This record gives sequence, C-alpha cells and structure tokens, in this order.
Amino acid sequence: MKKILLVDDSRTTLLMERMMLEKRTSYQCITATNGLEAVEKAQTETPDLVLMDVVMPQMNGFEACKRLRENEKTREIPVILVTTRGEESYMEAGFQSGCNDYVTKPINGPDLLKLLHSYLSE
Amino acid sequence: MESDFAPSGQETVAAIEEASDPRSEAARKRLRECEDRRNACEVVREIVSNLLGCEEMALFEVDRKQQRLALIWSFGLEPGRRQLPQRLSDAVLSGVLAGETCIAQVCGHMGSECDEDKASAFVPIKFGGKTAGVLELLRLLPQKTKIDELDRALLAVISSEAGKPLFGGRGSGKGERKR
Repeated sequence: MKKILLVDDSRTTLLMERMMLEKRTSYQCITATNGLEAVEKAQTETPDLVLMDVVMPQMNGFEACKRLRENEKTREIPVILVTTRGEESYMEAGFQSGCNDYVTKPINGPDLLKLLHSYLSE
Repeated sequence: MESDFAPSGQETVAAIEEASDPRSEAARKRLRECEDRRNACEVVREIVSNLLGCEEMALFEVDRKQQRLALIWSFGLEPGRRQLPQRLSDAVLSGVLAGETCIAQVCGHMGSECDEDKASAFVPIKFGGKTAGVLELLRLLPQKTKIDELDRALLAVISSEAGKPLFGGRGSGKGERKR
C-alpha cells in the first residue's frame, strides 16, 4: 500500500485531504503539522509521496522541501507543494526548493487524485 | 433581491453535492468540534480560506430584533473595509435574514481591478430558528473563478453548523478578533 505524508498546519485541511484520500483511494495517510515535523516523519516513515502546505509555523514548506532533498533517505520522495499563492514567482521558488509539482488551494479533488496517481502508479 | 446577488435557493442540490464532497464533510466535523466563539471563528477562517478560496471575510451578529448587524470578527480586511452597510442593500439584507445565502453573480477577485469592497457572498448563520449572524465573503483568491455548486454546499454547512459555537453563548464576547 502506498503511503502519503500530508503536511499542513490547518487541521481542517488535513482532515479534508485525509477524508478524500481514504474514501477514494487505497493510499495510507500519515500527517504532520509543520515542516520540521514533516522532515522528521519523512525520515522515519519513508512515505511514497509528500503533499505539503507552504505557509506553516516553525519551518515552511520550501525549507522542508530543501531539507528533504539534502537527505539521502528522502531525496527521491516526490514532493507536491500546496498553497493559496498562485503567482509565478512563488511557484518558481517552490520548484527551486526541489518540489516536483505545485498545486493551489482550494484543492480540486479529482485533479489532485489524478496528479497523485501519476506519481504513485507503478 | 437586487440583480447583483442571487439566493442560492437550491438546498436539495446542495445536499446531494455535499454527500459527495469531502470538503463539506470535513467542514461539518470541524464545526461540530468547536467549543467556543474563538475556536469557531478560526475554523470558519480555515474553511473559507483553504477549502473555498477566499481570504477576506467578516462576521456580523444580528440583534435580537433582527434589525441591526454588528461586526464581531473579521479576517484579511483593513479597518476601513469592515463597514458593512455600504455593501449590503436592504433587499439582500432581508434575503439573508430570511435564511437565504446570497451569492454575487460576478465575484470579485484579489489581484484584479475590481472594487475591493465588492462582496462575493452573504451567508446567514442560523441558530435557534433564526439568522443569528451573517458571514460576508469579499474578494476570492485570484485562481478561484466562481462560487460553484460544491461551494454552495460548503456554505450551507457553515450556515447550519457555525451558529451554535458562534452564538450559542450570546453575550460572552469571546473570540472577538479583527485583522
């Protein structure tokens, strides 16, 4: 079973993502509420993909993504960043941090599921 | 009802949409967990900004005579943009007080040249069989093009579930925050 690490400081967003994935896919979900916790969980849980918010306390999504890329154990894990900011410069910063993809809030469920499937299908 | 706004008026459609939308399900669960007004305001903010796509909102309390609205909380608005009367006509106000969610035919967007005081929706917050409050949404995020049927279902959840934690302890004054 594929494992996804969901990272967001909003409990509402985490709950919605978890409900969507558990209802419509067989992916296993684990969660973190900031970038630092995400980096730690990625090392111990080795998820197949990280779906991560950008604006978070303690460590933001850009920094967490850079940390994941610096660590041998986590550098190959696909990272999809999620944010309310859709400006090109912001997306560019996301890709510079090493993310594989970038989606904007509010999340479109079917589009996100397609994107996840494209990374997680064998 | 003036021409800029239309009542959502499709409760059945909203209920069907809600059943298939995890956003509404998550919103309902989170609002039912709220213990007080402060917590409820934060959850409403999370729902509206993260699940719907609007980071400008204000919450007004309706007085017991159902005549006046008083601002109790806002998010993303400068002080000068928290004044409701200029945005809410009598026709829309009576619709909202009657329990109808009113959605602008054309919503405003952040980053566009639209009037920054343009309201996108007025949502009645129901409690005790009345409209106890009104949630106003202003400009949507740039990537959010409209308020669709799934969004209406989400707003219906806020309308029916947020009243208890927001107004169940009327007069407490807890949770007031203006940003």
